[in-house]
Amino acid sequence: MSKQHSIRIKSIYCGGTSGDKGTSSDELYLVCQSDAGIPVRVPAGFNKSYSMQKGKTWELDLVLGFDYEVLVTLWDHDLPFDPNTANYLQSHDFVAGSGSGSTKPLKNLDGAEYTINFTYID
Amino acid sequence: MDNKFEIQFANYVGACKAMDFPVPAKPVSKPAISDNERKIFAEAEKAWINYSNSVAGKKFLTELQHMDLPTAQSGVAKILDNPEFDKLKSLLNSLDLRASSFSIGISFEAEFILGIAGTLGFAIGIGGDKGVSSSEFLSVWIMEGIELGALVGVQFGLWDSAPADLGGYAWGTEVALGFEVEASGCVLYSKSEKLLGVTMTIGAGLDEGFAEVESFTFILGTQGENPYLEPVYQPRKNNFLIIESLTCVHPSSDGAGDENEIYFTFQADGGGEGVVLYRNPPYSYFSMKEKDVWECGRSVWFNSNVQVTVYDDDGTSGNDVVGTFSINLSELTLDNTKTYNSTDNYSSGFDDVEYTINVKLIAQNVVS
Repeated sequence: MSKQHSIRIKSIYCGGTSGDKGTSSDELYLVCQSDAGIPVRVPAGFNKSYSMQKGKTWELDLVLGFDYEVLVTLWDHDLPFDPNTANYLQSHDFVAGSGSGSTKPLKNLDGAEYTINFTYID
Repeated sequence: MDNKFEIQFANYVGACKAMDFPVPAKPVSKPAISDNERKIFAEAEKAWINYSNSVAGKKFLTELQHMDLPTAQSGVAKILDNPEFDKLKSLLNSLDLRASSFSIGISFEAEFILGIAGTLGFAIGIGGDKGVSSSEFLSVWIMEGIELGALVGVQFGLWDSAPADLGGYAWGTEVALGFEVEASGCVLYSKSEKLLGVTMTIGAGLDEGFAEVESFTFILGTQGENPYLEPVYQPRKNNFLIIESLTCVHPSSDGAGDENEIYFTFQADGGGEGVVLYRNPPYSYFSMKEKDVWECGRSVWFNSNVQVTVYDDDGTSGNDVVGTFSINLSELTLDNTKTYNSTDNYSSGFDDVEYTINVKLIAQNVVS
Protein backbone atom coordinates (compact mmCIF):
# COMPACT_ATOMS: atom_id res chain seq x y z
CA MET A 1 0.00 0.00 0.00
CA SER A 2 1.65 3.20 -1.12
CA LYS A 3 1.97 6.10 1.28
CA GLN A 4 0.54 9.55 0.61
CA HIS A 5 3.68 11.49 1.41
CA SER A 6 7.42 11.01 1.41
CA ILE A 7 10.61 12.74 2.42
CA ARG A 8 14.21 12.08 1.51
CA ILE A 9 16.81 12.32 4.27
CA LYS A 10 19.96 13.47 2.52
CA SER A 11 22.43 13.79 5.35
CA ILE A 12 22.90 14.11 9.08
CA TYR A 13 25.44 16.58 10.42
CA CYS A 14 27.07 16.08 13.81
CA GLY A 15 27.63 19.28 15.78
CA GLY A 16 28.58 17.30 18.90
CA THR A 17 28.45 13.78 20.28
CA SER A 18 27.04 12.44 23.51
CA GLY A 19 29.41 11.99 26.43
CA ASP A 20 32.76 13.62 27.12
CA LYS A 21 31.25 17.05 26.42
CA GLY A 22 30.62 16.25 22.79
CA THR A 23 34.14 15.22 21.87
CA SER A 24 33.89 11.40 21.70
CA SER A 25 32.24 9.28 19.01
CA ASP A 26 28.63 8.23 18.68
CA GLU A 27 27.88 4.97 16.89
CA LEU A 28 24.81 6.41 15.25
CA TYR A 29 21.84 4.52 13.89
CA LEU A 30 18.29 5.55 13.13
CA VAL A 31 14.95 3.95 13.81
CA CYS A 32 12.32 5.25 11.40
CA GLN A 33 8.65 4.63 12.14
CA SER A 34 5.98 5.79 9.72
CA ASP A 35 2.52 6.31 11.22
CA ALA A 36 3.50 4.28 14.31
CA GLY A 37 3.98 1.26 12.05
CA ILE A 38 6.82 -1.20 11.68
CA PRO A 39 10.09 0.26 12.99
CA VAL A 40 12.88 0.20 10.43
CA ARG A 41 16.52 0.44 11.43
CA VAL A 42 19.10 2.35 9.37
CA PRO A 43 21.71 1.20 8.55
CA ALA A 44 20.22 -2.26 8.20
CA GLY A 45 21.64 -5.04 10.32
CA PHE A 46 22.07 -5.37 14.04
CA ASN A 47 25.72 -4.53 14.31
CA LYS A 48 25.63 -1.69 11.85
CA SER A 49 26.02 1.95 12.76
CA TYR A 50 27.77 5.03 11.45
CA SER A 51 30.57 6.42 13.56
CA MET A 52 30.06 10.15 14.10
CA GLN A 53 32.40 12.76 15.45
CA LYS A 54 31.90 16.50 15.79
CA GLY A 55 31.93 18.12 12.36
CA LYS A 56 31.25 14.90 10.46
CA THR A 57 28.38 14.42 8.01
CA TRP A 58 26.65 11.10 7.33
CA GLU A 59 25.54 11.16 3.69
CA LEU A 60 22.29 9.28 3.13
CA ASP A 61 19.70 8.77 0.45
CA LEU A 62 16.85 7.56 2.59
CA VAL A 63 13.30 7.89 1.31
CA LEU A 64 10.59 7.50 3.94
CA GLY A 65 6.93 7.21 3.01
CA PHE A 66 4.10 8.07 5.38
CA ASP A 67 0.45 8.98 5.55
CA TYR A 68 0.56 11.29 8.59
CA GLU A 69 4.05 11.43 10.05
CA VAL A 70 7.34 9.62 10.28
CA LEU A 71 9.28 9.65 13.52
CA VAL A 72 13.04 9.42 13.05
CA THR A 73 14.88 8.52 16.24
CA LEU A 74 18.65 8.82 16.64
CA TRP A 75 20.43 6.23 18.79
CA ASP A 76 23.98 5.72 19.94
CA HIS A 77 24.68 2.00 19.68
CA ASP A 78 26.91 0.47 22.33
CA LEU A 79 26.66 -3.30 22.36
CA PRO A 80 25.71 -5.17 19.24
CA PHE A 81 22.45 -7.09 19.29
CA ASP A 82 21.19 -5.49 22.47
CA PRO A 83 19.05 -2.39 22.14
CA ASN A 84 18.72 -2.29 25.93
CA THR A 85 22.16 -0.74 26.06
CA ALA A 86 21.58 1.81 23.30
CA ASN A 87 21.40 5.46 24.24
CA TYR A 88 18.55 7.56 23.00
CA LEU A 89 19.94 10.77 21.51
CA GLN A 90 17.03 12.68 20.05
CA SER A 91 14.22 12.40 17.54
CA HIS A 92 12.39 14.40 14.92
CA ASP A 93 8.86 13.92 13.68
CA PHE A 94 8.36 14.75 10.00
CA VAL A 95 4.81 15.60 8.99
CA ALA A 96 3.10 16.37 5.69
CA GLY A 97 3.89 19.77 4.26
CA SER A 98 7.01 20.22 6.35
CA GLY A 99 8.93 21.71 3.44
CA SER A 100 12.58 21.02 2.68
CA GLY A 101 15.73 22.08 4.46
CA SER A 102 17.28 21.24 7.79
CA THR A 103 15.85 20.48 11.17
CA LYS A 104 16.98 22.71 13.98
CA PRO A 105 19.92 21.13 15.85
CA LEU A 106 18.65 18.15 17.84
CA LYS A 107 20.47 18.37 21.16
CA ASN A 108 20.66 16.54 24.44
CA LEU A 109 22.29 17.36 27.76
CA ASP A 110 25.13 14.91 27.13
CA GLY A 111 26.48 17.06 24.31
CA ALA A 112 24.91 15.39 21.30
CA GLU A 113 23.88 17.76 18.53
CA TYR A 114 22.61 16.53 15.17
CA THR A 115 21.01 18.30 12.24
CA ILE A 116 19.01 16.38 9.65
CA ASN A 117 19.10 17.68 6.09
CA PHE A 118 16.04 16.58 4.12
CA THR A 119 13.87 17.17 1.09
CA TYR A 120 10.09 16.99 1.18
CA ILE A 121 9.18 15.00 -1.94
CA ASP A 122 5.36 15.04 -1.94
CA MET B 1 -2.02 -14.98 18.21
CA ASP B 2 -2.40 -12.30 20.82
CA ASN B 3 -1.80 -8.62 20.25
CA LYS B 4 1.40 -8.54 22.31
CA PHE B 5 2.94 -11.47 20.44
CA GLU B 6 2.27 -9.85 17.08
CA ILE B 7 3.59 -6.48 18.21
CA GLN B 8 6.78 -8.13 19.46
CA PHE B 9 7.01 -10.03 16.18
CA ALA B 10 6.65 -6.72 14.31
CA ASN B 11 10.02 -5.63 15.72
CA TYR B 12 11.65 -8.58 13.96
CA VAL B 13 9.71 -7.84 10.78
CA GLY B 14 11.04 -4.30 10.96
CA ALA B 15 14.57 -5.59 11.38
CA CYS B 16 14.09 -7.70 8.25
CA LYS B 17 12.53 -4.93 6.22
CA ALA B 18 15.53 -2.75 6.94
CA MET B 19 17.88 -5.30 5.43
CA ASP B 20 19.04 -5.29 1.87
CA PHE B 21 18.14 -8.84 0.95
CA PRO B 22 20.52 -10.31 -1.62
CA VAL B 23 19.53 -11.27 -5.10
CA PRO B 24 19.83 -15.01 -4.63
CA ALA B 25 21.12 -17.49 -7.15
CA LYS B 26 18.14 -19.69 -7.94
CA PRO B 27 18.99 -23.32 -8.63
CA VAL B 28 17.15 -24.83 -11.56
CA SER B 29 16.91 -28.35 -10.18
CA LYS B 30 15.55 -29.24 -6.79
CA PRO B 31 17.04 -31.90 -4.55
CA ALA B 32 15.28 -35.22 -4.27
CA ILE B 33 13.91 -35.95 -0.82
CA SER B 34 15.60 -39.13 0.39
CA ASP B 35 13.64 -42.11 1.70
CA ASN B 36 14.92 -41.50 5.19
CA GLU B 37 13.96 -37.84 5.10
CA ARG B 38 10.51 -38.89 3.90
CA LYS B 39 10.24 -41.32 6.84
CA ILE B 40 11.12 -38.52 9.24
CA PHE B 41 8.53 -36.14 7.83
CA ALA B 42 5.85 -38.86 7.71
CA GLU B 43 6.46 -39.74 11.36
CA ALA B 44 6.58 -36.05 12.28
CA GLU B 45 3.16 -35.58 10.74
CA LYS B 46 1.73 -38.54 12.68
CA ALA B 47 3.30 -37.37 15.92
CA TRP B 48 1.93 -33.86 15.41
CA ILE B 49 -1.60 -35.09 14.78
CA ASN B 50 -1.45 -37.27 17.91
CA TYR B 51 0.06 -34.47 19.97
CA SER B 52 -2.38 -31.82 18.80
CA ASN B 53 -5.28 -34.11 19.75
CA SER B 54 -3.82 -34.98 23.14
CA VAL B 55 -4.84 -33.22 26.35
CA ALA B 56 -1.43 -31.60 26.70
CA GLY B 57 -1.32 -30.59 23.05
CA LYS B 58 -4.79 -29.06 23.04
CA LYS B 59 -4.00 -27.16 26.22
CA PHE B 60 -0.76 -25.73 24.84
CA LEU B 61 -2.20 -24.78 21.46
CA THR B 62 -5.14 -23.03 23.13
CA GLU B 63 -2.92 -21.15 25.56
CA LEU B 64 -0.48 -20.29 22.78
CA GLN B 65 -3.02 -17.91 21.28
CA HIS B 66 -2.63 -15.63 24.31
CA MET B 67 1.07 -15.95 25.05
CA ASP B 68 3.67 -13.28 24.58
CA LEU B 69 6.72 -14.17 22.53
CA PRO B 70 9.09 -15.29 25.33
CA THR B 71 6.40 -17.51 26.90
CA ALA B 72 5.58 -19.08 23.53
CA GLN B 73 9.30 -19.56 22.87
CA SER B 74 9.66 -21.48 26.10
CA GLY B 75 6.61 -23.63 25.32
CA VAL B 76 7.71 -24.53 21.79
CA ALA B 77 11.08 -25.68 23.12
CA LYS B 78 9.29 -28.31 25.23
CA ILE B 79 6.97 -29.81 22.59
CA LEU B 80 9.37 -32.60 21.61
CA ASP B 81 9.43 -33.75 25.25
CA ASN B 82 5.89 -35.09 24.87
CA PRO B 83 5.58 -38.90 24.43
CA GLU B 84 3.93 -38.57 21.00
CA PHE B 85 7.35 -37.60 19.63
CA ASP B 86 9.31 -40.53 21.13
CA LYS B 87 9.22 -42.60 17.93
CA LEU B 88 10.23 -39.58 15.86
CA LYS B 89 13.25 -38.95 18.10
CA SER B 90 14.15 -42.62 17.89
CA LEU B 91 14.10 -42.42 14.07
CA LEU B 92 16.21 -39.26 14.14
CA ASN B 93 18.78 -41.20 16.15
CA SER B 94 18.76 -44.36 14.08
CA LEU B 95 18.30 -43.30 10.44
CA ASP B 96 21.16 -42.20 8.25
CA LEU B 97 20.45 -38.55 7.46
CA ARG B 98 22.59 -35.89 5.84
CA ALA B 99 21.05 -33.23 8.10
CA SER B 100 22.80 -31.82 11.14
CA SER B 101 19.69 -30.55 12.86
CA PHE B 102 15.97 -31.13 13.11
CA SER B 103 13.49 -28.43 14.03
CA ILE B 104 9.91 -28.06 15.10
CA GLY B 105 8.26 -24.66 14.93
CA ILE B 106 4.88 -23.05 15.32
CA SER B 107 4.06 -21.14 12.15
CA PHE B 108 1.71 -18.21 12.26
CA GLU B 109 0.44 -15.39 10.13
CA ALA B 110 0.75 -11.91 11.53
CA GLU B 111 -2.82 -10.73 11.25
CA PHE B 112 -2.09 -7.09 10.54
CA ILE B 113 1.15 -7.43 8.61
CA LEU B 114 0.13 -8.63 5.16
CA GLY B 115 2.40 -10.97 3.27
CA ILE B 116 4.43 -11.85 6.34
CA ALA B 117 4.43 -15.07 8.33
CA GLY B 118 6.58 -16.30 11.16
CA THR B 119 7.88 -19.52 12.62
CA LEU B 120 8.84 -19.74 16.26
CA GLY B 121 10.99 -22.84 16.48
CA PHE B 122 13.26 -25.13 18.39
CA ALA B 123 16.09 -27.08 16.76
CA ILE B 124 18.09 -30.03 18.04
CA GLY B 125 21.34 -31.45 16.75
CA ILE B 126 21.20 -34.83 14.99
CA GLY B 127 23.75 -37.04 13.26
CA GLY B 128 27.23 -35.82 14.09
CA ASP B 129 25.70 -32.90 15.97
CA LYS B 130 23.48 -35.14 18.10
CA GLY B 131 23.20 -33.79 21.60
CA VAL B 132 25.80 -31.14 20.86
CA SER B 133 23.52 -28.16 20.79
CA SER B 134 20.02 -26.86 20.45
CA SER B 135 18.66 -23.47 19.53
CA GLU B 136 15.48 -21.45 19.69
CA PHE B 137 14.78 -19.35 16.66
CA LEU B 138 12.31 -17.01 15.00
CA SER B 139 11.97 -16.96 11.23
CA VAL B 140 10.31 -14.13 9.35
CA TRP B 141 8.83 -15.29 6.03
CA ILE B 142 8.18 -12.84 3.26
CA MET B 143 5.62 -14.27 0.89
CA GLU B 144 4.43 -11.51 -1.35
CA GLY B 145 1.36 -12.19 -3.40
CA ILE B 146 0.07 -14.96 -1.20
CA GLU B 147 -2.83 -14.77 1.18
CA LEU B 148 -2.07 -17.26 3.87
CA GLY B 149 -5.53 -17.13 5.32
CA ALA B 150 -4.72 -19.33 8.27
CA LEU B 151 -3.46 -18.66 11.70
CA VAL B 152 -1.37 -21.40 13.18
CA GLY B 153 0.37 -24.45 11.81
CA VAL B 154 3.48 -26.44 12.49
CA GLN B 155 6.71 -26.61 10.53
CA PHE B 156 9.28 -29.38 10.70
CA GLY B 157 12.72 -28.93 9.22
CA LEU B 158 15.79 -30.96 8.40
CA TRP B 159 18.79 -28.68 8.14
CA ASP B 160 22.33 -29.07 6.90
CA SER B 161 23.64 -26.73 9.60
CA ALA B 162 23.97 -27.22 13.33
CA PRO B 163 21.21 -25.63 15.46
CA ALA B 164 23.28 -22.61 16.41
CA ASP B 165 24.02 -21.87 12.75
CA LEU B 166 20.48 -21.71 11.42
CA GLY B 167 20.28 -17.92 11.51
CA GLY B 168 20.34 -15.67 8.49
CA TYR B 169 18.86 -15.25 5.04
CA ALA B 170 17.24 -18.04 3.01
CA TRP B 171 15.48 -18.27 -0.30
CA GLY B 172 12.97 -21.06 -0.78
CA THR B 173 10.80 -22.76 -3.33
CA GLU B 174 8.15 -25.44 -3.16
CA VAL B 175 9.22 -29.07 -3.36
CA ALA B 176 7.23 -32.28 -3.52
CA LEU B 177 7.59 -34.32 -0.37
CA GLY B 178 6.74 -37.51 -2.22
CA PHE B 179 4.04 -38.90 0.00
CA GLU B 180 0.39 -38.27 0.73
CA VAL B 181 0.29 -35.48 3.22
CA GLU B 182 -1.82 -32.40 3.89
CA ALA B 183 1.28 -30.27 3.99
CA SER B 184 3.64 -28.30 1.83
CA GLY B 185 7.33 -28.90 1.33
CA CYS B 186 9.87 -26.16 0.88
CA VAL B 187 13.52 -26.42 -0.02
CA LEU B 188 15.70 -23.56 1.20
CA TYR B 189 18.97 -22.18 -0.11
CA SER B 190 21.46 -19.57 0.96
CA LYS B 191 22.06 -16.55 -1.28
CA SER B 192 24.92 -18.46 -2.90
CA GLU B 193 22.82 -21.48 -3.88
CA LYS B 194 23.98 -23.63 -0.96
CA LEU B 195 21.29 -26.04 0.16
CA LEU B 196 20.20 -25.14 3.67
CA GLY B 197 17.43 -27.59 4.35
CA VAL B 198 13.92 -28.86 3.70
CA THR B 199 10.78 -28.02 5.63
CA MET B 200 7.30 -29.49 5.87
CA THR B 201 4.54 -27.15 6.99
CA ILE B 202 1.17 -28.49 8.10
CA GLY B 203 -1.99 -26.49 8.39
CA ALA B 204 -0.82 -22.92 7.93
CA GLY B 205 -2.62 -22.29 4.69
CA LEU B 206 0.35 -23.14 2.54
CA ASP B 207 -1.25 -26.17 0.94
CA GLU B 208 -2.61 -24.03 -1.87
CA GLY B 209 0.90 -23.76 -3.20
CA PHE B 210 3.44 -21.01 -3.46
CA ALA B 211 6.22 -20.14 -5.85
CA GLU B 212 8.98 -18.55 -3.85
CA VAL B 213 9.64 -17.32 -0.37
CA GLU B 214 12.38 -15.42 1.36
CA SER B 215 13.09 -15.64 5.03
CA PHE B 216 15.40 -14.39 7.71
CA THR B 217 15.97 -16.44 10.83
CA PHE B 218 16.97 -14.95 14.17
CA ILE B 219 18.56 -17.24 16.71
CA LEU B 220 16.93 -16.22 19.97
CA GLY B 221 18.65 -16.16 23.30
CA THR B 222 21.96 -14.76 22.12
CA GLN B 223 20.89 -11.16 21.84
CA GLY B 224 21.04 -9.99 25.42
CA GLU B 225 18.24 -9.63 27.87
CA ASN B 226 14.81 -8.87 26.46
CA PRO B 227 15.99 -8.38 22.86
CA TYR B 228 13.81 -6.52 20.41
CA LEU B 229 10.72 -7.08 22.47
CA GLU B 230 9.84 -3.65 23.74
CA PRO B 231 6.63 -2.95 21.84
CA VAL B 232 6.92 -0.22 19.23
CA TYR B 233 4.47 -1.12 16.44
CA GLN B 234 0.90 0.09 17.01
CA PRO B 235 -2.10 -1.44 15.22
CA ARG B 236 -4.21 1.27 13.64
CA LYS B 237 -7.26 2.57 15.48
CA ASN B 238 -9.82 5.24 14.67
CA ASN B 239 -7.84 8.32 15.67
CA PHE B 240 -4.25 9.46 15.58
CA LEU B 241 -2.52 12.01 17.77
CA ILE B 242 1.01 13.17 18.31
CA ILE B 243 2.48 13.92 21.71
CA GLU B 244 4.46 16.75 20.18
CA SER B 245 6.49 17.72 23.19
CA LEU B 246 7.04 17.34 26.89
CA THR B 247 8.08 20.38 28.92
CA CYS B 248 9.96 20.27 32.19
CA VAL B 249 8.48 23.23 34.06
CA HIS B 250 10.35 22.11 37.17
CA PRO B 251 12.25 18.84 37.63
CA SER B 252 12.01 16.56 40.61
CA SER B 253 14.87 16.87 43.09
CA ASP B 254 15.96 13.25 43.11
CA GLY B 255 19.30 13.84 44.83
CA ALA B 256 21.18 13.24 41.58
CA GLY B 257 21.71 16.78 40.34
CA ASP B 258 19.22 19.12 38.75
CA GLU B 259 18.25 16.83 35.89
CA ASN B 260 15.56 14.22 35.51
CA GLU B 261 16.10 11.18 33.28
CA ILE B 262 12.76 11.18 31.58
CA TYR B 263 10.78 8.54 29.75
CA PHE B 264 7.05 8.01 29.54
CA THR B 265 4.61 5.19 29.03
CA PHE B 266 1.37 5.43 27.12
CA GLN B 267 -1.64 3.22 26.73
CA ALA B 268 -4.64 3.74 24.50
CA ASP B 269 -8.22 3.05 25.54
CA GLY B 270 -7.82 1.76 29.06
CA GLY B 271 -5.98 -1.10 30.62
CA GLY B 272 -6.92 -4.73 30.79
CA GLU B 273 -5.84 -7.86 29.02
CA GLY B 274 -4.47 -7.46 25.53
CA VAL B 275 -3.97 -3.69 25.80
CA VAL B 276 -0.34 -2.91 25.24
CA LEU B 277 1.61 -0.48 27.38
CA TYR B 278 4.23 1.30 25.28
CA ARG B 279 7.35 3.08 26.50
CA ASN B 280 8.93 6.12 24.87
CA PRO B 281 11.76 5.96 24.14
CA PRO B 282 11.48 2.16 24.14
CA TYR B 283 14.90 1.96 25.79
CA SER B 284 17.01 4.59 27.58
CA TYR B 285 15.72 8.07 28.57
CA PHE B 286 16.01 11.79 27.77
CA SER B 287 17.65 14.06 30.37
CA MET B 288 15.79 17.27 31.14
CA LYS B 289 16.47 20.37 33.22
CA GLU B 290 14.12 23.17 34.21
CA LYS B 291 12.41 24.78 31.18
CA ASP B 292 13.74 22.13 28.76
CA VAL B 293 11.37 21.07 26.01
CA TRP B 294 11.68 17.56 24.57
CA GLU B 295 10.11 17.51 21.13
CA CYS B 296 9.52 13.78 21.27
CA GLY B 297 6.98 13.57 18.41
CA ARG B 298 5.44 10.35 19.69
CA SER B 299 2.42 9.37 17.61
CA VAL B 300 -0.35 7.26 19.13
CA TRP B 301 -3.31 5.41 17.61
CA PHE B 302 -6.39 5.43 19.85
CA ASN B 303 -10.16 5.26 19.85
CA SER B 304 -11.24 7.41 22.76
CA ASN B 305 -8.46 8.12 25.24
CA VAL B 306 -4.76 7.83 25.99
CA GLN B 307 -3.15 7.60 29.41
CA VAL B 308 0.41 8.92 29.70
CA THR B 309 2.69 8.46 32.72
CA VAL B 310 6.01 10.30 32.90
CA TYR B 311 8.86 8.79 34.92
CA ASP B 312 12.21 9.93 36.24
CA ASP B 313 14.51 6.95 35.64
CA ASP B 314 16.60 6.84 38.78
CA GLY B 315 18.23 3.53 37.93
CA THR B 316 16.12 1.46 40.28
CA SER B 317 13.10 -0.70 39.68
CA GLY B 318 10.90 1.86 41.40
CA ASN B 319 11.30 4.79 39.05
CA ASP B 320 9.56 7.95 40.24
CA VAL B 321 6.40 9.15 38.59
CA VAL B 322 6.62 12.87 37.85
CA GLY B 323 3.46 13.33 35.81
CA THR B 324 0.25 11.62 34.73
CA PHE B 325 -1.89 12.78 31.85
CA SER B 326 -5.30 11.75 30.62
CA ILE B 327 -6.07 12.62 27.00
CA ASN B 328 -9.63 12.27 25.73
CA LEU B 329 -10.74 12.58 22.14
CA SER B 330 -13.56 14.93 23.16
CA GLU B 331 -11.00 17.50 24.37
CA LEU B 332 -9.12 17.65 21.06
CA THR B 333 -9.82 19.38 17.78
CA LEU B 334 -8.22 18.37 14.52
CA ASP B 335 -4.84 20.00 13.77
CA ASN B 336 -4.85 22.01 16.99
CA THR B 337 -2.37 21.60 19.82
CA LYS B 338 -3.61 21.32 23.39
CA THR B 339 -1.42 21.61 26.49
CA TYR B 340 -2.11 19.13 29.28
CA ASN B 341 -1.13 19.51 32.93
CA SER B 342 -0.57 16.51 35.15
CA THR B 343 -3.75 15.15 36.66
CA ASP B 344 -1.90 14.57 39.95
CA ASN B 345 0.53 16.80 41.79
CA TYR B 346 3.84 15.05 42.44
CA SER B 347 5.38 17.90 44.43
CA SER B 348 6.22 17.26 48.05
CA GLY B 349 7.69 19.64 50.61
CA PHE B 350 10.31 21.78 48.88
CA ASP B 351 10.36 19.43 45.87
CA ASP B 352 8.29 21.31 43.32
CA VAL B 353 7.65 18.98 40.35
CA GLU B 354 5.84 20.00 37.21
CA TYR B 355 5.72 18.64 33.66
CA THR B 356 3.31 19.43 30.83
CA ILE B 357 2.72 17.81 27.44
CA ASN B 358 1.52 19.22 24.14
CA VAL B 359 -0.82 17.01 22.14
CA LYS B 360 -2.12 17.45 18.59
CA LEU B 361 -4.89 15.44 16.94
CA ILE B 362 -3.86 14.81 13.34
CA ALA B 363 -6.40 12.28 12.06
CA GLN B 364 -9.90 11.31 13.01
CA ASN B 365 -12.20 8.42 12.04
CA VAL B 366 -9.50 6.72 10.02
CA VAL B 367 -10.81 3.17 10.43
CA SER B 368 -14.52 2.63 10.01
